[in-house]
Amino acid sequence: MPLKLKRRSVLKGLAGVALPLPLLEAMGQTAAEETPKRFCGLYIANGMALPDPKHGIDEWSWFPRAAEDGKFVFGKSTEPLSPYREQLSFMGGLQHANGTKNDPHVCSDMWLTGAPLHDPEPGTYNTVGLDQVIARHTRDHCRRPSLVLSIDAGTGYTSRTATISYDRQGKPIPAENDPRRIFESLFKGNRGTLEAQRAQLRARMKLVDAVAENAKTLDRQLSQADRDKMDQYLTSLNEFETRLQASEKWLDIPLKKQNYTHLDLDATTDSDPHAYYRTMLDLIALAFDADITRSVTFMMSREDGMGISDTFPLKLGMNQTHHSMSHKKDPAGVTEWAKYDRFLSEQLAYFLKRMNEFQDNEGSVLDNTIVLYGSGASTTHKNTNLPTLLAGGARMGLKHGQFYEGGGQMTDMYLSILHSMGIGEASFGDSRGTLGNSIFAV
Amino acid sequence: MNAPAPGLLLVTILLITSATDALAEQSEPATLQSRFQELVQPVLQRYCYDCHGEKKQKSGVRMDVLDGSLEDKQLFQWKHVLDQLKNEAMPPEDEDQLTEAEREAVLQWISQALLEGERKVRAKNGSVRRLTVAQFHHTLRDLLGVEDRLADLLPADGISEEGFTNNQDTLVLTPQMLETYFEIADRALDLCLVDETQRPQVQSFRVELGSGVNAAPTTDHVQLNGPKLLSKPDYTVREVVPEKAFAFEPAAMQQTMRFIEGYKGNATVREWKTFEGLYHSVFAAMTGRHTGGYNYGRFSHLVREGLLLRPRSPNTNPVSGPAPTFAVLMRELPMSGMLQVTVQAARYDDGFQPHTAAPESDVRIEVDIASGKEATLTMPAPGVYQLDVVLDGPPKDDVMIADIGSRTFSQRVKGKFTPDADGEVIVPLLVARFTNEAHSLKIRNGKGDNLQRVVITPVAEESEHGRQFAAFDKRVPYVSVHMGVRTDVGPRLARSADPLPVPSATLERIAFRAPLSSFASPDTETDNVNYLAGLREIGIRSEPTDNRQIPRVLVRAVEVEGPFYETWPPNGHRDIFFPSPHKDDPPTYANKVIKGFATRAFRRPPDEKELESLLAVWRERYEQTEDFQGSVREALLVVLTSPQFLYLTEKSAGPQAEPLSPHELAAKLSYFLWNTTPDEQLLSLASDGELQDALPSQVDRLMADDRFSQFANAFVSGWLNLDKFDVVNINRRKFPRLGKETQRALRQEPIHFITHLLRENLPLRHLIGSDFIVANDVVAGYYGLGNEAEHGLSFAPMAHRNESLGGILTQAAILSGLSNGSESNPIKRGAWFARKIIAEPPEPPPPNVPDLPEGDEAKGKTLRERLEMHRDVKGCRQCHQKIDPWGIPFEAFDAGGLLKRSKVDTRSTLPDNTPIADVTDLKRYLTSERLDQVAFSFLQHLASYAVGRSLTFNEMEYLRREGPNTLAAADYRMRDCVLFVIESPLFLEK
Repeated sequence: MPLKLKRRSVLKGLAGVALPLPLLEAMGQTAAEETPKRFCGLYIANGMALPDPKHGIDEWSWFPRAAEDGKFVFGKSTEPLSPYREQLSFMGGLQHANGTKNDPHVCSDMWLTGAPLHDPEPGTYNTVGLDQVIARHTRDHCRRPSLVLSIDAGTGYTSRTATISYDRQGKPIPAENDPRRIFESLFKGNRGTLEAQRAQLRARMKLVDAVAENAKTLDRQLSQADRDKMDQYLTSLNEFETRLQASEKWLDIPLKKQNYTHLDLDATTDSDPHAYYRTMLDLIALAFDADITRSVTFMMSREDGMGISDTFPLKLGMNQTHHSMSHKKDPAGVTEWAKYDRFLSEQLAYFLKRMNEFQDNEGSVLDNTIVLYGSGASTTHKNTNLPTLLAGGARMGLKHGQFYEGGGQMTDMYLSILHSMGIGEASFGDSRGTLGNSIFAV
Repeated sequence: MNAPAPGLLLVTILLITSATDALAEQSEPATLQSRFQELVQPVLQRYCYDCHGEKKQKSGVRMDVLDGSLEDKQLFQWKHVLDQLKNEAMPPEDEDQLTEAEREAVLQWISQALLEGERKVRAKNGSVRRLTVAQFHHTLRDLLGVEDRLADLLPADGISEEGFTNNQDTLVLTPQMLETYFEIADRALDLCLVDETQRPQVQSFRVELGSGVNAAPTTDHVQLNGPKLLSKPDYTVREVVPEKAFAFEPAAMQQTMRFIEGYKGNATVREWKTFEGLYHSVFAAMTGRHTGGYNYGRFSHLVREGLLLRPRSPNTNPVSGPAPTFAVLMRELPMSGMLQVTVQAARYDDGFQPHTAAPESDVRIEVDIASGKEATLTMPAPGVYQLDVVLDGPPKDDVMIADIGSRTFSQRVKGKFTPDADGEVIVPLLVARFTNEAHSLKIRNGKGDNLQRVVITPVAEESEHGRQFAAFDKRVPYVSVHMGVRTDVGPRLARSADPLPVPSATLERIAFRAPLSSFASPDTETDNVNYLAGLREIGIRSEPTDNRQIPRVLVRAVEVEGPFYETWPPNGHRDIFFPSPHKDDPPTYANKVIKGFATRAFRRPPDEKELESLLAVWRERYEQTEDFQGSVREALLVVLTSPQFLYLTEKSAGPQAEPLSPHELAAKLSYFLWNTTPDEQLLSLASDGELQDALPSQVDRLMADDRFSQFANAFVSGWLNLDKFDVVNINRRKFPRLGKETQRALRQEPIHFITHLLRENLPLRHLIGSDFIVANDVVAGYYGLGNEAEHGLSFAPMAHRNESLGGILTQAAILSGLSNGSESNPIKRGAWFARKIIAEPPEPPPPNVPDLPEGDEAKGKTLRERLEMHRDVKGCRQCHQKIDPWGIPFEAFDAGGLLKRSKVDTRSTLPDNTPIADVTDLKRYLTSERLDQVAFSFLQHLASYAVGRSLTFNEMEYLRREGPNTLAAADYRMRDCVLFVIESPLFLEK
């Protein structure tokens, strides 16, 4: 690539030292040689059924029952997950420190951020979410920084969000919900868009070249001592340029060959909930397998009766909408709710199965992906003991098959997830440290 | 022994050195170093290294690294060592002491080293520092006319030891940030540049208010959850075509919409429906509760002429932001550009509500209103009258409304009313000005069945109510506009522009402007299918000050216009693509446009090479596309992402001191005093080589300019650590008066106070103590001076006649910021004082400091005793001796920054053994005996801020010496201090 050499020599002349271009060199190899580290957040609204012990139907509790030797017994609503016992753990007692200070309805907005929504920085609403912090660190290695999916497209309604992803300004990132459109944008990138992207990247690279050229004129006028201070700028410029080149390169790397025949792209939110969830989860697994992105969120249902997902239980022949179920306190009502939880567990089990079937160069895709599945409330409007399940990530040091009951802050766990992925952030949101338990190696 | 004041110390050093002049003459650093090894090091080794050596570093001090060289870092430490030895603070009493001879030898060597160190010529290499986030924001705004807070995409800047963000060593740049700079430049140019050949699209509508103003209201069902819609006959919405000096296209608003109807309760109603008419696009609503609560009478009252607004409670809901009284909600708005909200409003001819009935008077008139009947009222003469209402029992409703002539008064009548012997209750209703015309009179209260009569008494000017009315009558209400997004848990609003006064009794148009990006966010999607989703809200209210009564604001109409253009093309665009006879000659015009912009952005003309590289960008693009503006834009993008723009650069030929170039001086000056880019006048003075000579007058001009507030905000916030007050978690149960908005006003107090001292060139001692404060009514009210302040929301100096007020030390923002929000904290206050006010920074605390003793051992102990217990812990004493004594006098003030109710022992013994009784005593001591030191601290912070770096040892010594020489005789006048720094080599040389 002659362009690369030219730029490199320009920058070398500028800063007085040869700057390494590690990323670009890595790009020169086939991308698949490095095992990706990924994250997937799956959100369920309205909490999970946790029956009152006095009703004697504990077997319908979403949280498992602890058994001897640190083992646990799956409840009926999570039983479909039992084949994956050694690849998942239940996390008990977690909560967001800011959760209890908030209007309980806004729990989905803060699930991945932990932001003080009750007392935001002036002019802001939310803060950056876990998936977007991860995306910033993984985007150089894949085609799309992140994939933001939801049962309803867009961002919904502030406080009843339709997306669980928030950018670094705390603004919601609109979600996609149409399987066909998602499929086409991920796997069938059409030529026109590709060329437009390439043109845009080229223009940006030209600009960086010009800026470097211009910086050079300034640099010549500086004394050696000042030139040292300019290094930071020039190094940053160099890295930025490398990133642009990397992005351009993706346009030319052919997509991994995959089998799409099983996809039911006609599934819509109006059709069968099974078909819809499975298609969406298939798309996520395929996107991971082709290393299109390493950060995915999927809001599988929305809070407070918003959105189509609320009606899914009715479509499955149950008597209540999802949100109404979650207000039930009587044994019969709670049992029905737990049966819907079971339906959701079946979907998750399907996803884990798919993720196990795909192989990375080392381990399965699931072994290289941390899957976070859970709710922003335990039962209706209760922001403590959030139902939370972690799956996968064995190759990032996660040790599974546990029911962790130690509690703590969600954001501490998020920091553990970041560290497990090799992302050395000092903190996340209001975290006080990593979770420090038997599940994470770091 | 008492420690000598710094001035004395200097004298001592000079005496010693003059005695050893001959030695000093010949002592080069090398000799000095050999003498160190010979005479000093063995002594240090014997007495100091055990505690301050390789193994242990008590108080974080390490002596074995001192090698007798004259590096600044070592010089600062030697200065500290000198103080310790002279004060006999070290070695500690219970350790071996130096012999007299050893002491003498060490002292002599240190003094000499310090003198050498000060004389030593330091390499000067100019400076290269990135614009801070604030500077970048201001600069983009001034260059491009873009108000949007694009710079906020960048992470916050680090803070230097002195408290400032503009320090070259804390200003980092990462690749991530550079990428953001590219993004910001792109977006800024998008916002600035327009297609001049097109007419702009402008959306505008007017909501008019007044009871019965809409003769033909819509019959559609207009739904809105949460806020209470105004009833349909009471407002009109229409699209208007604003008057503009240029041609534009009015953007028609959507009149036919299809939505899913919304949702009911917990379930979505999924049924498509068509809605027609503007009333489904724009809603007029009241928000919040409408009666009771705060202040007097209703927050709002609809009359024929419009909507009357009373100030809302200053306590705001932290989730939703400030609570407005009235709101316009709308579906459709442009996403970018500026929004103008014009409130057509007047100050209502209002009356205030007295606490007591009018005194008996033989000139009173009684009007019969039995059972609420209408009466006629004619005053004997024009003037001020009090109206008291007599009822035959307690009021039936907590609001009493009086319609008198064309005016409507609504007053709160909550409280306990004990009937007199006749079973009658007197309600003091209002004091207002009346003409002697006949007025209709109708009193409304519940059913009105127990109303009896109205007693009208003239109010004498000099009476209590007369004086209260006179004050009330002069008060000017302020309106404010808040913008945000409506959610189903209420609005999320932020104040979009400063509140504006409504001084006129006739309707005037009051315009507010704010960038649409401050509330347009993707969560207001245009294609959302929910009827209620994505509504944007403009809230309007009368701003509260303290609890005082303020005449109501009459709002007749609210007009919304967006994007708002003052001119077409907008000024920012025209400043770049200026009119020129060369417009038809692309190469010439491109050269002029790009050179002009680069000159403004680089704060100097680009040199030939720079210009050529920019023109090359233009040329290449232009040849490809033939799009003139697009190709120029590419070159501008390069300008806005270049180090020439992003960094303040002083070029330097070598390590010797050189004068700044005229353009460097212009930039340094304007980023110092304005925190933004130099204006045309500064740049042209620089081009003409006249800036240096014009410095005093230019400093005056810069300080008088509005942009000086940007300096004041950054400098004062940094120097005094006001960020601590931003993050302190106020215990609102304990300090209910310290609400968010009061906090915001108090946060501004130190900034306005210091601005006043600087602009008026007042003596620096006012920083410590002044017989005035600079306050608005909120701040004055907080300090209990509400009765004496009448400045509304603007800050103005006022006498306080209160021993505990005046100066910065006892301002609530400082004292409260240095607490934990519940309890005062003498250690925080003491450490802050030592660092900021007298420039004797304590060492940073060692790791694992034990907390103040609690539990059993602390039982029954006062804070002072607990402090003493803590100080007695080994290793704590040394530092705390220099911290606690300064903090203890402030113990008289609570965590809200006001005097505690209980008597507090504030006696303290300062580190130099001066006994101090309380804060007043401390202030007196500082202004009489330590003024040089306070001035030094101020100058040191000011100079460090001015040059954007920490000062070197000899620069500090320069300030210590030349500060008093130049400024002390004239009482250290504040503006003179600024000029002193600017005219010093430390600022002028690179």
